[in-house]
Amino acid sequence: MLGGPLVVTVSFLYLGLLFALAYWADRRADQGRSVIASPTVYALSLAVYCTAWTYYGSVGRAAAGGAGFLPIYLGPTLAAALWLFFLLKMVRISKTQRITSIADFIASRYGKSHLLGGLVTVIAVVGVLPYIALQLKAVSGSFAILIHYPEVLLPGVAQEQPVWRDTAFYVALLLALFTILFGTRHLDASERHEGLVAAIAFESIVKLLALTAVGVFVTFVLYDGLGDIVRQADLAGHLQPLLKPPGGADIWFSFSLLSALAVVLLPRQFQVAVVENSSERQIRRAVWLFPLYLLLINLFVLPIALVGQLEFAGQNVDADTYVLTLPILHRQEWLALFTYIGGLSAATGMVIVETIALSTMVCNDLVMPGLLRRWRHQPPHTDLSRLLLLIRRSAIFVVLLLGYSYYRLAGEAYALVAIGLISFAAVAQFAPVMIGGLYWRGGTRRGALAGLSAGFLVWIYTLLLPSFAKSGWLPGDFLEHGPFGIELLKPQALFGLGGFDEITHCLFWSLGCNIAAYLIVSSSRLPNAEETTQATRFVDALKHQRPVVAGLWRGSAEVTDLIALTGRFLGEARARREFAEYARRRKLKAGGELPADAETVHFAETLLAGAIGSASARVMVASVAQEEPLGLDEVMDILDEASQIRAYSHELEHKSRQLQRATDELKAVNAKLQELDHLKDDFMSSVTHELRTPLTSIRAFSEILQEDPKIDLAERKRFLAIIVSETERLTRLVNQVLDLAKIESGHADWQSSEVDLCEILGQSIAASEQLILDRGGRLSQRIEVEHASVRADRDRLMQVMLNLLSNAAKFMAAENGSVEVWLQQREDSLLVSVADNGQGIAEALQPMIFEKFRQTAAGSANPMGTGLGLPISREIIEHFGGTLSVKSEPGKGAIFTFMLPASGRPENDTQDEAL
Amino acid sequence: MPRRAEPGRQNESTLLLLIFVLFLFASPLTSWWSSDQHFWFLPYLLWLLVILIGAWLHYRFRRHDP
Repeated sequence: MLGGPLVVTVSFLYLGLLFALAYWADRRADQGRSVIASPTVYALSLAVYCTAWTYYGSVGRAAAGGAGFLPIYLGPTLAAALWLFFLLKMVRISKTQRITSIADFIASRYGKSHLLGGLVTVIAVVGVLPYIALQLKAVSGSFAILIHYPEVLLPGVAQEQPVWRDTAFYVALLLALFTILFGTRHLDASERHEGLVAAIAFESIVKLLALTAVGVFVTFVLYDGLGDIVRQADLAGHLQPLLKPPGGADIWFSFSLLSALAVVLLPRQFQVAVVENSSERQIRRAVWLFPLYLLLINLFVLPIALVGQLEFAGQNVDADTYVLTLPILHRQEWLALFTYIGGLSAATGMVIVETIALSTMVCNDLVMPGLLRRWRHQPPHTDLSRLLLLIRRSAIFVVLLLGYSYYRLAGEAYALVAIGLISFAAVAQFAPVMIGGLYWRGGTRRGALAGLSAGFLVWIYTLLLPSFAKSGWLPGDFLEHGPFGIELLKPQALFGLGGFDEITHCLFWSLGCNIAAYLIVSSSRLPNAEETTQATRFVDALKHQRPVVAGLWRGSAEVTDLIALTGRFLGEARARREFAEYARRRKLKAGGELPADAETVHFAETLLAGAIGSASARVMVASVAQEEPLGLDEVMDILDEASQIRAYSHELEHKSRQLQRATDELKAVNAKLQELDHLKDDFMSSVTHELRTPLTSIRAFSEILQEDPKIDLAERKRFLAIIVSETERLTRLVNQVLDLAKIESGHADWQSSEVDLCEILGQSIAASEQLILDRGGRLSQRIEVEHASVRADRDRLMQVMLNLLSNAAKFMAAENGSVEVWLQQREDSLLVSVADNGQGIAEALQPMIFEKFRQTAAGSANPMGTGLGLPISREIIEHFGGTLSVKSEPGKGAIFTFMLPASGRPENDTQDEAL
Repeated sequence: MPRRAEPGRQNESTLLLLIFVLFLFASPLTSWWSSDQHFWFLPYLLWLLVILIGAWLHYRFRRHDP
């Protein structure tokens, strides 16, 4: 049976589990095995966006307006599509500048201004207080409902109870304690809170599972699926509007815009998305995984809202509590407890991260500037890290107690979603200075101050004060009739602009005034040196890997002073370690060897910025370094020079790529030349070898004839015949070598004309027939076409045919040798084949016979030709666009086939240019 | 098979996705899908479609961080 003690125990156990998880993740990070480096964990930590507002409030809004809650989640999906431009740039800037919060980011962009950082902090704290109040309301409300199980009893109005009997007060204190344990164990705010992020990611899983469990129970256990719920709602009549589109495109648009801005600009979202980011790869996955999470967590919102309306029809049950009261109504105590834990996850995740982010801002941008003034810009020579921790811890308590105060003052007048939207509208005021700061160099500190102030004041007037008035804390007259009865100044119909809901109305006026003031004031004056420097670092953040640092600081400093200064805020050991590491990166042995140049001063400043914020860090560094201020002209010169260097660098990279391409081409050409040289050597070697064989024979027989005059006549005639034959072979060889050389060098004369292949075949067969008959063979022919016209050189084709026929005559079988010639047409080509019934050619040798001086094994033992006939024939056929190939199986003869493209009837002869 | 990212093409694809999302959720097309009798689940389907395209682009242009 559920009851107060059990619920409290389970709550403590759950928070203890989170703490254990965070401790484990921190330990792993210390061992170098980070669990939050995973892009999935990063996307889950971004889901801290889904708070008690999503968990309980979306159902409440869906029960009142159907799908009207969706723009709050479609907006982030829209924004996520832009993260690869926007968030990537913010992350890169924050890593190089050691940005610790959104206030630090904006202050740093506009010349490291204390005033601007302070204003952003005030807006963030005041703006987010309603949001924290919302979480307190949700946790205390769900606790109060659950302890009355199995009764469905809604909690009483908080204002009617004394503070010490109000659950929300104890929830606030407890959360403050846990936040201190989670977030302020280390000082350097720019270091990632590994344990915290791991716990937040775990909470995201828990709240998703819990809400899904309720959704499945409601949809598939209480009802027969979605269709059944929709049917019942349709029958109920009064629920039909919930199934129709919500009215007002203005609401759809303004809520989408608001949530698209809030998903990055809320302090806690900036904390997890930018400060806790560990690699740009994480952003790429979050672009789709985070919207998918939002889709899943909202999947059952509408069914739960419809069932709640059906089940509690006529009863006074707040729709914001349906997620919890439906399981209670149906006596599902464990599901109710799990649902409560899911809600606790959603609320605690938000409160912990939000207050850590706000405490960093309060410490660095509100308290530190005050302390610096008190110390007259010279910090006392003691360890200040404990003081900083104390400030942050106090800030956590103060923020949570302020949130609780808002809950007591105004929390009961609004539904959860309405409270959240007030906060969204407040942080939306950061958008113009953030976006302008990232993409426009002309934005100035004064412009940013003017824009933010104007937007914030309009937000207070049109949204915050009306929320107080609606809760009865302020008189409601000024809402209805305007201050002093001036109708035009009515807060929610300013200057007569009516017909919009309060959020759209506030967004229109506040962002309008904000943007106008920012642009007008910024344009009225040129940025100063510091603003120009920072503008360049921010706007050009994605253009170069290394920030423009050197040259933008001029002065004198002592490295020992810089180490001592950072030691006061970070602890001496830590400071020495960081400087030693930095020295190692600059290829020096120890921190003491570092030159006191602009880069070292910048390093000390960014190191300090991680602890006390960029604006305070600048003041602190100035206290130990004698800086010579740079004028705007000098800064512009340096930046021009830097951009010129970048341009030269780009040009050099381009030239380098061109050079690399040229080198690759030269290497390829060189390899080809070496191959050709090798072929030439082979060719020369083959030619000389082929020439030597007949010459040796001629010389031997000539010497015999010369030395032995008595040799008989018959023998003498035989020797002379051999000499003549070898001389003819030599002549043929020389002619063929010359012929091949001409063809290959492109100097051959080609007489190109329409030639009738039938005629060529007839002539070549007539010329070769006797040779075949003399060797005891027979010749047959098969011509299957009537007109066989090709465009080629008649003499060259004759040369090919005679070569193929003489080869066939040489290699046909010694007994019953036969040679067959046939001509056929295949599509647009003509095929001429010459087949013999000789020994054939092994498959491995077939490609070689087209190489110069290559003959088959039988041929090489007793050369019967020059070994150039087939290479020349192939060159000729390929010149006319054809192919020459061989098919053979050992023992079954060989078939040589050449194919030429067919053309029309013979025409007038033409002469090709020499190739 | 994932390809190495080409920053220019990746930026173009991301912008195209954004235009597609705007076209779906912030154009006169909104009134077309919201007037359907099955209005209440259509936004979820369109939403899922956008997420799937985003995931597809992610894997198409995935590159390994150093």
